[in-house]
Amino acid sequence: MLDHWASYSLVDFIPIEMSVYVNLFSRANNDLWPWTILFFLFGSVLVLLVYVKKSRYALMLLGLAWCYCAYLFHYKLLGELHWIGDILAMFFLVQGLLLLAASFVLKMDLINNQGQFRVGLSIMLLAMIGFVIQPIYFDRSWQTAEIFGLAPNPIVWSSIGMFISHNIRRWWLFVVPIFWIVLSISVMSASN
Amino acid sequence: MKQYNRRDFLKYCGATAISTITMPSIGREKTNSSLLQKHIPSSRQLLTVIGMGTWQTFNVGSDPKLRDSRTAVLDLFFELGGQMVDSSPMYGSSQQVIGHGLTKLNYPENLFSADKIWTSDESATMEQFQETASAWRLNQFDLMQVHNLVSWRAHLDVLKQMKNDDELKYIGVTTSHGRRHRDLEKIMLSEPIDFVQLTYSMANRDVEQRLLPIAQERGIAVIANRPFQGGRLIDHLQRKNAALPRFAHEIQSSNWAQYLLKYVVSHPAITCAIPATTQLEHMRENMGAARGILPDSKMRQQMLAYVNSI
Repeated sequence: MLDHWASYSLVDFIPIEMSVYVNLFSRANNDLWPWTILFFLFGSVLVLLVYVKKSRYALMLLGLAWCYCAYLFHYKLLGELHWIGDILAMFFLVQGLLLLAASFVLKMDLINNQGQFRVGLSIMLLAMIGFVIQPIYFDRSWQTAEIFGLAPNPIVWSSIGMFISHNIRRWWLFVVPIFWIVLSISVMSASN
Repeated sequence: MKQYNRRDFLKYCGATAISTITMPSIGREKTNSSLLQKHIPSSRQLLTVIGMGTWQTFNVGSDPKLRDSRTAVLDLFFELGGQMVDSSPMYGSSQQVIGHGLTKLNYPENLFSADKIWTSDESATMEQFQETASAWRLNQFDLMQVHNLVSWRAHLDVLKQMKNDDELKYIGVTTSHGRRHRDLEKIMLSEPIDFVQLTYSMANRDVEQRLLPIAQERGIAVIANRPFQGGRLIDHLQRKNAALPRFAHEIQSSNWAQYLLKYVVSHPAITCAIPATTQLEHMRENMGAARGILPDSKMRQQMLAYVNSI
């Protein structure tokens, strides 16, 4: 039996307890309260912009959200606990700037495939609402809700949703979101 | 003259037997109080066999609630006779959180401060030492170690000089997770270090083969990190609903934490173990392993066989 326990997993090398990481959502929400609600509304506006196909404005809003999350969550909160926060802040900032640039220069294709559009939009809706109500499922305080613009996951998944809905296939827009998803899944599965 | 009753007599016999059988000269425990302590071989200073690690657990940043809860853990640790608190620049904000806690507790007298140098920049030893001292809000450390042997030659040279200048009491090197044991062995055989830190638990006993005997021969104190294998060993035993064996009461272990810790610190070469926790109840359990008696070699085998059978 004991030999099995001599092995190590990724989580052994992460110097932050999962509860402390989750607590960062609560700190982000509390620090900004009551403006936290405004960020949730920004997320709703984003979904609406995508729905009415105001793609450039949607990309612009997404870009700003990535930049703000880079500063607040990764640089200010996570960076205090681990140097990886500073690196992630840089990645998120670059992604934000790319999205802002894309909002000006990217030629948007006409949306022909309604099925794909609906799938993308559904992912966005799920990202906005799912991460907010997630604490209920995990039996955590509602203060740990992950809100668009303040926590990384809703931004990453709503970006993926938007890319799918508008058939945006520029590889350079996918690098950071995919990296984040792989990183999150690796850490989550190692913790369980 | 003091009158001895039957209990005193048995206690004396038990303590003598243990120190004779299981503790060769360098690791002899202090038996004249109920707190289990061992000598640091290079100085004969006594150290409580259970210390405190801060990996993950003290990395809570500037969150005031979490800082207060960690201060309460520190407070209890000292109250129960704990001494060694170990940290590293690698542990995020842990050093600052310790500094905050110690300030609130007014720097308890029994503190044995242990930290590390962890930078690949060979010229940055002093700079990092000063940053660490500032985070702890201390001027002097008891023990400074080279973390995971990173750029160890350069850092150790500076630490040796600091020790010669009485700026440090003890110096050492660390490894964890069973890595770089060959390099560690070379350092133990060639450098005048007071401490080594390595991973040792019921689940990870590789160091029994070479490193622990060398430590005994060379008079080097040994700090055991990850005594619960990062908590997974205890989680597993609890998930299995495993009951403590009957013989656990003979070594005064009333829970799995104490059972596992007493196994670790009863090895003659081990000076102390540094479990980490965020919970007061767990701290009480851990510190319970620094009380009572330690198992002898026969009992250690029995303890290991029992856990292996689960």
